[in-house]
Amino acid sequence: MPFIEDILKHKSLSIVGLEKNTGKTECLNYVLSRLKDCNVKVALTSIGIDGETRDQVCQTPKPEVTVYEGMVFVTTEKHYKQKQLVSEILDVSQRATSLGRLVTARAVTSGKVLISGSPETAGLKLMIGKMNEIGIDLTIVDGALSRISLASPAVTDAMILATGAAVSANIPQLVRKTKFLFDLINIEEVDAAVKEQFVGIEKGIWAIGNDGDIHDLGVASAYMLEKAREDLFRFGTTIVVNGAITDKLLGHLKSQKNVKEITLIARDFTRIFATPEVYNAFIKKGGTLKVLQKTKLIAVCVNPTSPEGYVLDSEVLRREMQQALQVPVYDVRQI
Amino acid sequence: MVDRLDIQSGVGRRLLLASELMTSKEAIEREHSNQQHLRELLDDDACLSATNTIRVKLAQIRDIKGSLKNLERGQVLDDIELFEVKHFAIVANEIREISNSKGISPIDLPNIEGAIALLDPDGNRIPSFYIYDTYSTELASIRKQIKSQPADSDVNGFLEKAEAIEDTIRQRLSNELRAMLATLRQSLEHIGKLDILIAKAHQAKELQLVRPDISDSVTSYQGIFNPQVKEILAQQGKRFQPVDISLDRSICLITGANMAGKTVMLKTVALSQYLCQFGFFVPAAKASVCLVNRIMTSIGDEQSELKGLSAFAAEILKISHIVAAAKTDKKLLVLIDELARTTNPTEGKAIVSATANMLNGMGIRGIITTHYSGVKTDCHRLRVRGFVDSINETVTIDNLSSFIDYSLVDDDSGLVPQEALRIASLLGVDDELLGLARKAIDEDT
Repeated sequence: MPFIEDILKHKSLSIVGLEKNTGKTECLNYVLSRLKDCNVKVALTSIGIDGETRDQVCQTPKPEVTVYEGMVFVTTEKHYKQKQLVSEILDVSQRATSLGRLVTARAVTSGKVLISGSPETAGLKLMIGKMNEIGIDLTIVDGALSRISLASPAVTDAMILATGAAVSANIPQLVRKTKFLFDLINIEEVDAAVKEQFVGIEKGIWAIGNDGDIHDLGVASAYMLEKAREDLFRFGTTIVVNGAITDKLLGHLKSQKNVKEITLIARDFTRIFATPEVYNAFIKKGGTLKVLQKTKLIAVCVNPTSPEGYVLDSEVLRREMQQALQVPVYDVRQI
Repeated sequence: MVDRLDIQSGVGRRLLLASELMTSKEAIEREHSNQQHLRELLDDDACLSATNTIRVKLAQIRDIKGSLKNLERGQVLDDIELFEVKHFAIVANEIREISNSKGISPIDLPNIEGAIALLDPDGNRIPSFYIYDTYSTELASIRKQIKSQPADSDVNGFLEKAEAIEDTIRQRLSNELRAMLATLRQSLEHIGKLDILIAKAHQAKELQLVRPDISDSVTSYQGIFNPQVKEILAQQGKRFQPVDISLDRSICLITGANMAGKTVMLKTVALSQYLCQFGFFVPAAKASVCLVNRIMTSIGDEQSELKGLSAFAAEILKISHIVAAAKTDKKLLVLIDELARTTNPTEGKAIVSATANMLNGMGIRGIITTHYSGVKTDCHRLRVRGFVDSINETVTIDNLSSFIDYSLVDDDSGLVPQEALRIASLLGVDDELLGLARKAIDEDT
């Protein structure tokens, strides 16, 4: 059973797809089917809107998630009522998310269910904490890398990345695109002390002074940079950006004279929206990028089938990908 | 005061917001005596800890008003609603048991064991729910069949059958719950009331509020204080000077220098009356309150430029409204701050005299404050004592309040202390300006 042992070393795991139709749900189903015999207490939730029986974009059939007897799952009221299994309600959230109240239930029989969950990072963190409290060993988050959802899967300890022909039908290009995200996921995390300082600060752009103190630069987001009249580096060259890291921001920083001294810190890799070209130019010029929250990537799953029905050679894809990334790569249909 | 109440449950908040000004002596006395019961419990360690446990449970209480409404309409509850009813019943029952063992709740919390027994057929007493196998042997056997099917086989047929049986069970459960509807409603409401009572008792303890006597003749406060101002002063290391005041069925005319606390006092009297009639204790050392049907105030600048009204127009319309109300209902408390201050002194004084005399003649209880000297009236007059005579320290805007005696004294002179220039000078207002003002006074006299 590849990578299941790796998963069991962590308390929370997210499964994210590079794009839609990259086989994320199949990957999730594979993981769940393996975990059912592992004698661990598993809980399952999701970030925001997910689990439509039909993909909203391509109208391709989207498999529901199979939950096994004894597993705990969290989903919205609406999706709970559509479940195809017997389950015991453990809790109903008193506060409604934008998708309705969240129902926490334990599967009494195995069966299929649509999973949806908290659309905010704070709510997701809370949920993972709550699962730990009720004795869950591993919480799995069906994650999305979409900008629609505000919740970041990076709050989980570990991550599995799903990629495949839906991203590109050209193997080298698919590998290149996956490699870029892989690089972002592996961006170095800041020291624990710095991380501690930013607990609870979820907005704005900050500087870390040479004395280690943090200063609010008074700029709401990277989009407002041009309006900032004062020197961005008046406190020091370490800048923390809570919002999006854009091409514009990186482009601005890379053209500074002191680019080699600049350390840019993002919340987590999902906040980096820069294109590979600009990102690489910034790094090449000597700039440093770090994240406040890093998650450990334990495996990459590939789906050789594209939503248009195009099928890549699974073995070639797997081999090429593994060579480029240097992490285990699996096609969950082949194992 | 209401915002600061530490209510734990949604149902408590809902009931609090829906509560109305009480005018029945019996209802208020009942509420006050319930509160006194809880207030006294908070001084006993064992009861305090039981009350705190109840508060933790109250925070878990779900407001099942919607589900009960659905039951009343004859609807069948779904699993989520049944879960909520069960959760409520279990937590409410825990609260009831703690309350009964220590005699906490002054209001009866009904026994809802029946609902728990219905929704917890296995007797686990865990607040989770599904249509248990215990409800039907047929359901149990279908579920067994589902479980025994090999993985990936189609179990939809079984699921459909099971779902049909589950529906009839939900129907039966809903019918049986419907029979308990009145008890469940009462339980929900009383739990909410208990939450409010506990929160009020905690506030009374924290703010040192006192239970008012309900009087038929005189409203009187000994050592009345404004909790908000008191807190602000305490943060600055200062003390609020409590004041004594007594109001019979007549108008009381209060004069006093600027910054002498007249406005704060009016607001505090209004606050105390509201608190009393919403079933709270009041901020005073001792209090006796006459109940009224309405509290009518004119405090602060009500200038409404948008409506095209000047400050004076807005004020005088309000006074007219008060007088009209007084003609039909004598059970009013009228509080008017610096009446007619925005118009000329001659007519202003006349308006004060007329309002005071008219309301006084009708036997209306109230306070009017004014800056005008020589108001002709038979009303009871009081004056804020004002500046203490011997001031040795340098007075600044920060310590000014410590040189003012805020207590009220009887005053028959009708003269208002001329202290505006003195205060202005203490505040460091431009000397030349003050000199000219003094000169103008000398010339007049």
